Amino acid sequence: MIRLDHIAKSFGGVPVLEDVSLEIVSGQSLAILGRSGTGKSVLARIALGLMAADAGQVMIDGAPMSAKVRRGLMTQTGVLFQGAALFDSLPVWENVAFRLRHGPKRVRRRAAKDAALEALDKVGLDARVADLLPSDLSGGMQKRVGLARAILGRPRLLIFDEPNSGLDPVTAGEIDALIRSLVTDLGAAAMTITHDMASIRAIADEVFLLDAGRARWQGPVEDLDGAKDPLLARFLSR
Amino acid sequence: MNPLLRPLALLGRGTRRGLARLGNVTLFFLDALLRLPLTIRFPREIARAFLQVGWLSLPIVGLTAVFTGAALALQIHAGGSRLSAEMVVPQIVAIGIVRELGPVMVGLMIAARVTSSIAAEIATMKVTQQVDALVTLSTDPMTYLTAPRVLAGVVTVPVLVGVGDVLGLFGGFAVATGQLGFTPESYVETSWNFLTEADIALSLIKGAVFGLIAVTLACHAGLNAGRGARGVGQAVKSAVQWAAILILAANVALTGAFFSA
Repeated sequence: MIRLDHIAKSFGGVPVLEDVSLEIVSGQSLAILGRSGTGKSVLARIALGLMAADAGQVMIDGAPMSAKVRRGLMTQTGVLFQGAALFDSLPVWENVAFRLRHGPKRVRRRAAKDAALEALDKVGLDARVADLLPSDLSGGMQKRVGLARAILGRPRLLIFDEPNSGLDPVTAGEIDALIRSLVTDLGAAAMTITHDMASIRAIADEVFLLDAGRARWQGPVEDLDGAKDPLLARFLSR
Repeated sequence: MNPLLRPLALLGRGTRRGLARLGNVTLFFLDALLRLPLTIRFPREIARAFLQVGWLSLPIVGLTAVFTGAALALQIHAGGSRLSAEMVVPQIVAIGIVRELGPVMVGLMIAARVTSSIAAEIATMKVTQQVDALVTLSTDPMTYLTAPRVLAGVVTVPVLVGVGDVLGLFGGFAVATGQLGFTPESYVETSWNFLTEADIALSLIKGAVFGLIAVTLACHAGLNAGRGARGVGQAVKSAVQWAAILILAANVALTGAFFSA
């Protein structure tokens, strides 16, 4: 589905990513693990075509990233941003149905609202929140709305940027379970950026450890406990 | 470097940065113009932009214009009395408001009210990743955020200038007839007969250009905002100060071009 080959990126001469390569295939859930400031979010932005790499290439279904490929990618990608990134001026249902209302394939208001209510139901939100504004919701509910927006239209690629940041452990666990079931249900390729080990064990099939902009360890989630990497050991001991 | 040359180097760097920014904003504006036909897909954003830029600016524009017209009438009367020319109050107020003060005051009020609010709104969307979210939802931020606002700036600010001109003239009329001894009929007749179609056309053209400047700079600053609250603050400050400067510069250029032709 998506492959990143030898990606490098620097800001103001300071390297943020150096020679990073990874691949996610359909149905696979990959977690990008790393300390704060190691370039995880930059990697996700490059994967989405929101930022250009200084070197290396992003391949989508075998085609190199271009404006046309990116446009195509966006129609089949769902992203949950770190702060949910909901549009303040729109009610919840319009946030969820934004792509249906404003994207290339437009859907009538009634049908879009029905689809939004269905997506809200999938993430465990009542239809009563549909007409509220995002500012009326708690952080956990906003994350759920962001998740509903990400999964609407059955995307082939899902990207979750720190889906549990700022949430209490119970809500975080619920969001993790939701992500896992949605990824399985949709059969999509998923990339989750996190530094939460409990979340990784709940969500991921594969783990990719990024340190100081470089790939440090990669393997199946089952191999985490047997890994000898000292940084990984420090994550596991938390 | 020779210390004596340092101020020159600073001036050169500032000029280069200013010109680079101007070029950048011009390209941004052309990009927004190209998206104008596509913005029809977002009727609600267009309506919201017209409300934000035009309708909600009416009170501040109206009040500013009335007070400016009133103060101008008092000034002209006081200054004219030194030359025994008190009777020119209607003519000077009319020409002063319609050609200069009306459009400039409205332009500066729009820079203060609309430029700041648009820059803050879009910059906040940028730092909270809402602009990225738009892209991932297959929506172009230039078409969705910038083009409706540019359209609203070009269409509604001339209307605001027209309203400002009328209310500015009314401010002068109120003071002149209430305090300076002019009769209402003669004041209105003198003002109306003195104004030409060219004066009114220049006023409205200035409004369209000022609206364009105020809104384009706001959107440009918002979409290029840096990180965090500081980034939002800097975007707003930069947009408002450059909008005010460019509106005043464009005013000189337009006045010169119109009346030297």
